[in-house]
Amino acid sequence: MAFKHVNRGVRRVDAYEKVTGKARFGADLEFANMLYAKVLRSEYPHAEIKMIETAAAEKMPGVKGVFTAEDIPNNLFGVIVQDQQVLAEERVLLAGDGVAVAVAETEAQAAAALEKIEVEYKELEGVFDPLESRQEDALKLHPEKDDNQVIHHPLRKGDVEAGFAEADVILEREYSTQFIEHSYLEPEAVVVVPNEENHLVSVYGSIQNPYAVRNAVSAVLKVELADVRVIQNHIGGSFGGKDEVISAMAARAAVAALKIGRPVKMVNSREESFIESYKRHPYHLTYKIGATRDGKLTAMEIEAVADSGGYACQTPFVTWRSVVQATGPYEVANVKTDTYGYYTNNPYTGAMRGYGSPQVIFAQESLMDELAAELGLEPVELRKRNMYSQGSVTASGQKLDRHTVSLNEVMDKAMEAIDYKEKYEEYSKEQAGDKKRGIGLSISFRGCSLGAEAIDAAASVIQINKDGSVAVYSGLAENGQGLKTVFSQMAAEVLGIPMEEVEFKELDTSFTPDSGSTVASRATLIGGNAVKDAAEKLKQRIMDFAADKYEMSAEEMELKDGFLYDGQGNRLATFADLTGEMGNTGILMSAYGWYKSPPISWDEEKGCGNPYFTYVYGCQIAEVEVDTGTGELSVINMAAAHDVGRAINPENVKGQIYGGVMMGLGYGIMEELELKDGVIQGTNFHDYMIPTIKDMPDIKPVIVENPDPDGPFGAKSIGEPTLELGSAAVANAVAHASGKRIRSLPLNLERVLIGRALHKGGK
Amino acid sequence: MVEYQLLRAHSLEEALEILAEKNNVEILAGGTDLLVDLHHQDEKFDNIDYLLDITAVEELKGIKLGAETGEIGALTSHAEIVSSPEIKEKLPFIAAAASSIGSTQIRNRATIGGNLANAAACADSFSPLIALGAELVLRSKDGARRVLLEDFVEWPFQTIKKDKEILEKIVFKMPQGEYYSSYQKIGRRKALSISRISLTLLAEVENGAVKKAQVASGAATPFPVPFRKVNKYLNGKSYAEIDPVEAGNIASDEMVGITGERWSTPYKRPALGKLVERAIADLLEEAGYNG
Repeated sequence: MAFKHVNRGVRRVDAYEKVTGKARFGADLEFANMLYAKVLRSEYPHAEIKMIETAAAEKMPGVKGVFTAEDIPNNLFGVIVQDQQVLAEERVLLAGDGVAVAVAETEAQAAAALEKIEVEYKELEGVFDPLESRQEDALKLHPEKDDNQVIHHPLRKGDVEAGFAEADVILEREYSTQFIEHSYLEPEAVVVVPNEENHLVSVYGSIQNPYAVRNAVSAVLKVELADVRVIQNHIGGSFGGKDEVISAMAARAAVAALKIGRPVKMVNSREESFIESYKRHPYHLTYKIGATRDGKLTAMEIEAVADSGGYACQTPFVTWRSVVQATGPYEVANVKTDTYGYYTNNPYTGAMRGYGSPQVIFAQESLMDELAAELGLEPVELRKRNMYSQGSVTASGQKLDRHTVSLNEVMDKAMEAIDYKEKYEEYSKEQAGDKKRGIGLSISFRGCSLGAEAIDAAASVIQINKDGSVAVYSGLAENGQGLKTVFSQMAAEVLGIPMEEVEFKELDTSFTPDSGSTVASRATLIGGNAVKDAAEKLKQRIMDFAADKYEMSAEEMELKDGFLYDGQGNRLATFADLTGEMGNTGILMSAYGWYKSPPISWDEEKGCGNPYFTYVYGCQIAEVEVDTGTGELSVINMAAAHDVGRAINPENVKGQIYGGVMMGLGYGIMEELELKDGVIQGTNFHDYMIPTIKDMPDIKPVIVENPDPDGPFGAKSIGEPTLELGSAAVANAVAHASGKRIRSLPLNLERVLIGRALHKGGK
Repeated sequence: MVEYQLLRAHSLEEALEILAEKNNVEILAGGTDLLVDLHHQDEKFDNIDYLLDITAVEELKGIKLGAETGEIGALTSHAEIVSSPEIKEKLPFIAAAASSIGSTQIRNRATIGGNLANAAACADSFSPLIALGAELVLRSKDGARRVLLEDFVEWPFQTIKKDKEILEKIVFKMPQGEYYSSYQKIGRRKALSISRISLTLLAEVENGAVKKAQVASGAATPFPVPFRKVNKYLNGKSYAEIDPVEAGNIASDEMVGITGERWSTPYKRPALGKLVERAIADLLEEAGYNG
């Protein structure tokens, strides 16, 4: 099938404004009479608030109001569990909990007012390790709950005892992963305008999920959804990070804006962003695996314990993705998996690109290499003997027969791209000197979109104006991933018009239909289907009209390049004239598109079912050089092969791969949020290391296309799969190079050289 | 809020006048450390009344290398050091250290004098200059004094420079005869990285033996020091007599002797030893010794 617009690397539709600096971000927004808000945050990870005195702050120059939990109509919010405080009321549960908000004519005046707020705390003992938090006698952090458990997801298949009995080799290993920061370029920013255009409050800013923010603000203000309008602006990166933290900021600013009756702007500094924002979940992972001598897996028993921090946030869903994917893409007859989340007094943890998969993949793909070594098999061979193929049944009992299971293909293509076999052989030989090279790979399957987390549907609106210009609206948000471009390509493809005729409009919750959150790598797949649906409805209307007008059958005619053709290569009309005439005839030239995902199922008690309606497959390979004298680790080359169904915009897919690989390497090699009793030790990028351009390897992206029957033009997902594989591939390459297996992330200087991490002030 | 008056000096004389006249003055050179700390409202600024911007003081800039002696003005930027052909030819280890600092932007602004006067434990300018046996010229309105760089730092971020003094320049004797050097650095990433350990080895050699070795390290100790025991081990040894591994162990022991067992020792002990070993391997290779 030849496409005109999709499956082509067209220029990003929002590139010009971003490259030229014309794009306006949350912090750029100005409104008449705007005030500025600053938040006073707790420095204690766990404390009782005995008293808050704001009188002195209220008298400071320029101050228009100081707000505490008392002023919040409904102080608890949350997407899944409503346990997060807008402002801490009786207790702070983490260092960084907001306690009071000062609003003033200038940011400096608001900051000065914070210094005059007096808070009397009674420090409480804290719990900083989920393994401690889960103990029966642990200090209870949410007294209204039975214990500190946020969630437990079991998964049972077959009989693990019998499976281990069949095994010739059994390995038991523990792995752990760390807290990391999203490190988006743009710190959080919101502006709330009261009483604008018949809305009680309008919220602008760097917002990943406008509908989630609308839900939170309306719940906090105790007003109807229709009273709250959320307008998304350009966003400087999010990676799952601008959800609950933005909701909390928007709710605080909304309370203040309504009380004072003026717009309120709230922009975090980098330090405030580090302190206030949620992080990626650290996991403790325990794996037991059994295999026969010839490398057939017989059983896996897995326990994953996630640190949820002070609040539940996304922990229930993050750990659910983990339970589905914990075995990796391998056929195992007997599986027992339990994933847990526990409250602690650490920073709270939420969504971050990957969402519960990078942790389990690091463990399980490290384990596969360890098992291969134990069995005397090559890593590739062990995987090939066990990995999913067409019709395989997953750990949860789902038969993979609705789409192409392409693990073998992605693996072979990644290996070819980096000359894996030659390098594996070469680096397996004795190497002279301190600098040793190695190569390692990892593979994954990943459920696309939300799965059984929630109803998975999205909407779009397409409006054809009388001059033939086309406006496209979506309920999903552009977060930098390229959604505007991809959706515009799809609309242009269906309607047979040039890309320039398509105008993609900003998301505005009052005018675009609620499509849920822009998460789970679902936009192209779910939102794309909705755009395609709206465009097809309009196309049908146009072709019916044209069939009447030209007395031809609709099938004979074709919309292409902005013209109606008769099928013989003759132009009958321009798109603009034809659709303009339709509008003048009284035909509705707008259409809603809707897409609801195919049925899925999940039995929460048994942990089985068909959790996702389709999956993507990926393989990443890292070639590294390890300095065994100093612990320095260089990733020289990376190959990343991903089956995306169909690449709507191949250049954009490559961009996702480059970015995701780099983010995965940061996670694997250097990023780690240092905490001391729940308090973050470095709150800017001179302390918290993220990779620079000089740390970037040569990345070979390989796009594999097996169109999915349920995807728009066959497209599936790419955003998150790119990040989940890197750390395991690097750990395997390091083990190959140095002979040392590192089971904790990140693989920093100390772990590579002496096998363990060292912490400032530690023993 | 830190509040201060910003003063700008246009000559060394004017700067020294201001320092003599006023109290509680903080000197602003490249600003890459100071402005960051100021942004954080660091409490060390609680008692300052003035910020003295000396960036326009031309007398403090420039590199002069003679046959016997050399000097580098305190306001010389790391970028100027990196791009100086003279430094590259005669003192390549200083260029290597300067090029490893921060990023292009930082190197363009940050000065060698600022790096020394700020006196962070990880400052990269110390080890090459200590290896050179450099002295600092500290000038006040009443005159100048010279101090050995290795005696300059009392504790991290604390030096013997007096409030009324400006660090004017770094002066040193040029290495003589046949000499070789090596600069080594370990960071957590490949750019914009603060040193975990840095190391300079400078050795004057004669007739296949080390005449005078100077090994100094950054970030290994709270303030940079020469490793005298390693120097002693190397001095007078013929190439064949040098065991790089043994030299590395001596350096590590010397470091731990100074710092005691700290949280970072399990890493720094083997890593420092390895850097010394590599620096010596560089020296032997450059000297054309093939074992």
